[in-house]
Amino acid sequence: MVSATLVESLRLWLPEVILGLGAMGVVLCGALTHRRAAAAMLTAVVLFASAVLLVNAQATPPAEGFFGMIRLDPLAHVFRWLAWGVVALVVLMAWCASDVSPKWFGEYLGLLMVVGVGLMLMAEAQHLLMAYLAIELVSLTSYLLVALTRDARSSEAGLKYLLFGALSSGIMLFGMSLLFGVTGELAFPAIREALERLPSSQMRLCATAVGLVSVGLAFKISMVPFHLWTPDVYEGAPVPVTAMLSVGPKAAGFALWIRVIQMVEPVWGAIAPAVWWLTVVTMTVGNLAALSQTNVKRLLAYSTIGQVGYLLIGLSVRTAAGIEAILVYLAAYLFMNLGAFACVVAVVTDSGSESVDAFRGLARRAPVLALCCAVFLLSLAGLPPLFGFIGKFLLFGAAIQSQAVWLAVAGVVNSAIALYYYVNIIRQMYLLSPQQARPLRPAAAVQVALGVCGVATVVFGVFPSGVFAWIQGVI
Amino acid sequence: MITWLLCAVVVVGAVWVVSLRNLFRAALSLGLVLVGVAGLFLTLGAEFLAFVQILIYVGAVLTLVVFAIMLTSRATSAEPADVSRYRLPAVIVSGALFGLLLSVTSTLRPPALPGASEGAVTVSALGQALVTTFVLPFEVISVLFVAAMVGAIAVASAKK
Repeated sequence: MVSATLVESLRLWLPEVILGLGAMGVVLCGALTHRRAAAAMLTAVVLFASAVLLVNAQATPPAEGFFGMIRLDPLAHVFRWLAWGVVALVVLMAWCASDVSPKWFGEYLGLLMVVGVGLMLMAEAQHLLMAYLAIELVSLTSYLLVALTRDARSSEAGLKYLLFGALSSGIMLFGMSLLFGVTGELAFPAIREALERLPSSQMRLCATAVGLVSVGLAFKISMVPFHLWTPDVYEGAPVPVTAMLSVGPKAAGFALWIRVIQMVEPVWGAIAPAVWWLTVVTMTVGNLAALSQTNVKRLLAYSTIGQVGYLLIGLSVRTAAGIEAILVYLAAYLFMNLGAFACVVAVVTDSGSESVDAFRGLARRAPVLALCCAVFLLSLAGLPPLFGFIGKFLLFGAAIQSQAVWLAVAGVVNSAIALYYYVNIIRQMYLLSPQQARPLRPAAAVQVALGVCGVATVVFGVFPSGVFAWIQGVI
Repeated sequence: MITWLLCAVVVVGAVWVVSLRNLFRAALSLGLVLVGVAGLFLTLGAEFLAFVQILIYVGAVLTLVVFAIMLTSRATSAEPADVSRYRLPAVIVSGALFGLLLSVTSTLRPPALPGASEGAVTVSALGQALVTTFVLPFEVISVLFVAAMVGAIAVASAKK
């Protein structure tokens, strides 16, 4: 006999079920047919099916699923869509990029979809065990995806990622076990209740436990000083995987951290000042280090660290406005950063070089690609009227609203620094002469990814009301 | 008394794991730690957990570790592994973390242990929980293992 709770939970969780089963199907399909096209077709069908189910799931009221393991509320829905968007856009890039052997294409796409399930779970988790498993589902699959190409650099990156990741998981587990030891609970709402009743003599212990859990999450979102793995891993990984790592785990990490902060509200005050300072340090370190980079993947890695710094503003202020701003900025970041990576895929596939010099004279070789790239970079820099500006405006606005003017000032100063390295690439594309004269035509799937990201970056920048309507009511 | 003895075994083993130069001996020390932890589980009345700990960690994981060390050349020789350049910072950081944990947990008093009979969880109760309350984690772990295995095979073969 199957319990009614189980049936109901499965119904709510159907998008992830389809995505997970689809991932297994794609792996099998790739192994049996040895055809890239077959695996890609099946992936498209599965992604489409899960999108349809996600649209259906949107209408249902907030609910707990699987005996309180996960919570499917509006916040989770936003992140489910973000995760779906990451997987769909990265699959488009993976189809065109040539850095993974065609023999392993089925496994490649299957693992990407498993990461998608993990990202969704991270945002839904309502139980320490579930949160940990979701993080590991994302991490373990990511280590393997990073190491999937043939060159030694990729293996080194995979190993580094594995070692750093294992260490951070260990630290986080230690924090979780302390939390469990003190409260005797694993489910988030129960921990929250237990923390409120806690004698003040145990507050320091709880704050330490929360700090350790936060360290694990900080590793995931590459917050300084836990960012050291980021440039090396991004450089060694296949470009589409780098694109996925730069958006997916960051978004899901923020989702989980938002939930954890809600859970440990009574003791978060002890950790908050540290996060406040590290927010400023993170954006400054990321942007300053990006200035001197010549490899475009490393440059985007440091740019990601800078962007995470801006996002952390929303977490530091801990207001509804801050969380709304995080959601808007993550949506913007999804389109502009994956768009920028789609440009990198097009350039790297054509020239085989990952140097910033490969972008030289792109405007003459591929005018549309260069224009898209410029739009994404300017949006990352936060110039109006693009989507990135709206997100940054809300983040800095949230900081000012809650009297944290210095965070906003730090953000604005950093945006000015970041403008230098973003505009430098645009200068290479438009003002310098190309290394080769032949025109560059990106593959069709990259064109689709560029089109989707470009339209979203411009349209939501000019008419942000649609995004606001979607985000409103989440908090 | 026996608890303290087991604790000593675990701590000494753990220090050996990170300090011994010979990788093979370090792996055997890891086995000592794992057995010690299984013993601790036993004294806490978690018989099933102790059994699983020995079966999986000592039986499977440690065997794999030993295999990996034997198969990579040079490792079994007495030649020392590369010494990390960051020994001093590592000692400082871990020492600081240890001090912090010690200071915050010093106020904790362990609750009275339940008697073996009332605290024991039967295997059938565990099985029930795995297909009801914990069915989602159980399934997610399954997906995780399949993905890890498929990916590991792909990575290993792609390097050829």
